[in-house]
Amino acid sequence: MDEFLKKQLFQQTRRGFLKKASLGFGSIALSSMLGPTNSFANSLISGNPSNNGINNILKGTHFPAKAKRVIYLFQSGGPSQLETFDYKPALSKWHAQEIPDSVRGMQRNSGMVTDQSTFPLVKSIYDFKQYGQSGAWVSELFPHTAKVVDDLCIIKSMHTDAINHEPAVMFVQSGSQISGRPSIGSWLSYGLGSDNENLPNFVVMLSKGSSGGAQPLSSAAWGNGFLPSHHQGVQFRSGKDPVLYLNNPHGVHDHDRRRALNYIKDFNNEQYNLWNDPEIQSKINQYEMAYRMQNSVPDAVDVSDEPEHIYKLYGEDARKPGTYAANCLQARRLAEKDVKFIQLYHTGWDQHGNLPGAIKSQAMDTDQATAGLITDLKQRGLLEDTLVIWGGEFGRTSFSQGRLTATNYGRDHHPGCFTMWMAGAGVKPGMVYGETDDFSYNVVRNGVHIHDFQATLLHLLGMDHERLTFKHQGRRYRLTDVHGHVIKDILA
Amino acid sequence: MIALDFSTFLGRFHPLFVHMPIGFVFLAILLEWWQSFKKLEKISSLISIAWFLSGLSAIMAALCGWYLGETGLYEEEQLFLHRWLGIVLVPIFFAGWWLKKNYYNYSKIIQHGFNLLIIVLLSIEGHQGGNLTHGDTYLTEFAPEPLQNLMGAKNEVAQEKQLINPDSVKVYEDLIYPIFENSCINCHGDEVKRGGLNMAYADSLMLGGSNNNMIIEGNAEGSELFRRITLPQKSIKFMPPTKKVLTYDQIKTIEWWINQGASFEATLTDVEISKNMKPVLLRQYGLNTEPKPWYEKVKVSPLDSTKISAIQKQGFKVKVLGEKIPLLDISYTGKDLTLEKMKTLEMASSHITWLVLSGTNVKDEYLSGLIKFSNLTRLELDNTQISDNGVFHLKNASHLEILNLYNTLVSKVSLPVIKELPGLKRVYLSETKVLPEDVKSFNEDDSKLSVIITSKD
Repeated sequence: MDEFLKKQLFQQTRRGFLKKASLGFGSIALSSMLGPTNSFANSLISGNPSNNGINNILKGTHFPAKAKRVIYLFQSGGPSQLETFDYKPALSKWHAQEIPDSVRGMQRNSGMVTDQSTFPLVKSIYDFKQYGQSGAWVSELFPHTAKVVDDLCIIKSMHTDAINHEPAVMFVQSGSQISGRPSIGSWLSYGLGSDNENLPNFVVMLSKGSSGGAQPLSSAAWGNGFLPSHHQGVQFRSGKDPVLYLNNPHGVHDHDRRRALNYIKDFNNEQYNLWNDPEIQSKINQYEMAYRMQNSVPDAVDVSDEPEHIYKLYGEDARKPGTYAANCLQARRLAEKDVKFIQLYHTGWDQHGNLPGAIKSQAMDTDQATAGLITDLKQRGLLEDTLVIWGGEFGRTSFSQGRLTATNYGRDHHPGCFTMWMAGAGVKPGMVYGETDDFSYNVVRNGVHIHDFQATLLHLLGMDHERLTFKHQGRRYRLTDVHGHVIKDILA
Repeated sequence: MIALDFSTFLGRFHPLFVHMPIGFVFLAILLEWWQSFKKLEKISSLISIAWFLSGLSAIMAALCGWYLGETGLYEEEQLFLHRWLGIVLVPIFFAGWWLKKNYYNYSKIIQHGFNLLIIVLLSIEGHQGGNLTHGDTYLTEFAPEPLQNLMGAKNEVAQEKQLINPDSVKVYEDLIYPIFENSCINCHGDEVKRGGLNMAYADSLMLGGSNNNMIIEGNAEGSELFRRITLPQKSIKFMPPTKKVLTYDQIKTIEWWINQGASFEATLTDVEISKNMKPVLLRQYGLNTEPKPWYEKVKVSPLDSTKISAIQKQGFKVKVLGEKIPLLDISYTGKDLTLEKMKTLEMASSHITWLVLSGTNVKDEYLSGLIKFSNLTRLELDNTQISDNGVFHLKNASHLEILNLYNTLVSKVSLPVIKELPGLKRVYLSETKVLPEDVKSFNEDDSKLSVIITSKD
């Protein structure tokens, strides 16, 4: 171990010396003569070694950022496209008939239906109508969303690679089915930095669907992966302590806490100078962020100043902490405070059986609050530069899983096609993009792969998805891996 | 051809030889300086030998350089000075040889003056050569920004001369003719005129072939051209009769052109671009026919970074809009905004395009400077104490597109000012003293401007 240490130190000093002597001193001297600060403003990646990641890694966006922040309403479990936005009248004709092989093709099905001997197609038990100027079809489950449909850009042709929850959620969130890559919010934090130093860049809020039996979510979905750990999502809980372990222990005065933190910081900096481990800087950042959050978080989550008409808008549920509606209201408040990425998860959309009843209660949980959020953001002018995303990790099959009866059926996981929508900053409002076949089984026009969605998301935030990279284990990683095309057609 | 190849081969040795006279001459000059520094009595004969060698190698360099220049890979204007200065340098080197050989016949002033002249000429010559090989921006591209400004370097990226600007795109020439050229003119051109049809020229195309109704202006369905390209592919009359049929987008473009009157002169701005043609033009030609945002149209050079940091020092957050768009997005948070702070923004008056003062203590009079902000397109004043007096300062903001006055003290007195703003697209007036009925007429008679206002109940 001693040997190793010595070697490390030696290399560090030798290399450091040569680098500093050849380039460092000269250019620093030159730039300080010519202009006191910011001499390297023309290079996009800031070369400043003291940039410990509080500041953004990109000096600026690649192109104008239409969206300055994102609210991602993740509908966890895989909401059925067939009962929500993808209206398929042809299924009435085919109802209860076997899905044709020509439609089913080679598409993958999950192991849960392999024992099934029959695959009867099933139409939506809920009716659809057209709404708004755009005439988009919306199911009767979403009367409130239907009212704001002219603000939405509905993408019916999403498709993904994963067929089960955990990998599919990871795929949407991090661009890889295997956990360990940074989540979208972490990438944004890493790339763009913070607009509000008092709150985390990336906030996560969870709510449980009332249909029950929800798939668990792993915190890797909002993990920082190989990025410095202060880029990870910070989970806000409902109730007295929105962020755990934030309050001072009983008897510890704020003043003492500050002094202690100062000393810890000095020690940590000492270690950092010795080791140059970026995680030490992360640690310092996190302590400081936690200290600032002692004041900012209680203020941010205190909804007592919200007037009555706001609760009318979001629904009565918004008064109950921990509900989806309360989280939506909270999301708006955080967006106002310039939190960059606000990620909501609402679980319970996994309807293998008893779909009609379960999806109805899910819709009841979310519909009014979602539409309320859009309306609220719009009236405040926040929808100009806030991007709202609604969607799950995959879709559901057009054939029934389990027994099809007159009033009951189920649907299995279906990566082949599903629906998502976006609204706000830089996205065309009142648009329906992409098409599936008459069975909502295959994409037939303008397919949007998860990587395309991610590329578009980064584009809206002003970044070229091919140029936001992090070098790890010898190669540069991207959110979109080696794929992804920006969907130009949906950009306003 | 072989001679030319061989001369090109020789020419490529120019970069090799070109460094030799430079090296020799610098060696000679340095030696001479060293001798005068050491106050040595006798001038070394090595110095004149070095000058002679530099002359010899300069001949080689000039010769190879001449051949290299003849390859035509360099711009004549740029090449001129480099070529002839290089040739002039050859006799000058030999003159140096003569001068140093007879060192004591000439005064020290002449000797040193000559050295200085050579250094200047060589620098010019070398720099010119470098620019020819590596491009004008090679030296300045990665220079620190203040140094770049000092050297007057322009690192702006040259605009691609593609179909970018809709008013310079000719519908027939740039969009339609290329389709014909690719798929039709092989059989319907000057050489081969199948069916008597020549599509190479506008008049011969209109004349048609055996069928007279080749193109009926404004009626694609009735035009033989359109009918032929949209027949079932199995039909014997289907065109083009090869495997390379027209794409959906190409057919749509032709249909649209005929329906728009089949003009041979019209530019893209003269014709109506229907909603479903826009994506076609975007896909096929990369032509964005949506109106461009102001920030993409306006051209300003980047703001000096010293000014940016001066603004940052006042507590503003400053973001450059994009790599190629040096306009600024500036925001402020907190309740300690002052008139002085706002005054510093005037340094960037033509650069600020987005200004966010939401939730600050901004006062009406702070906005008086905004009159100079010629490129302001988005102004967010929501959740502030701004009133009608503040809005009054905006009356010259001709490019303002988005104005957020949510939760301010603005009343309907401001409405005439808002209405007069020529570029305004959206104004947010909820939670103000303006009532929804005040703006009712607004939304009706001006479709371009939408007023976003909700009543509390």
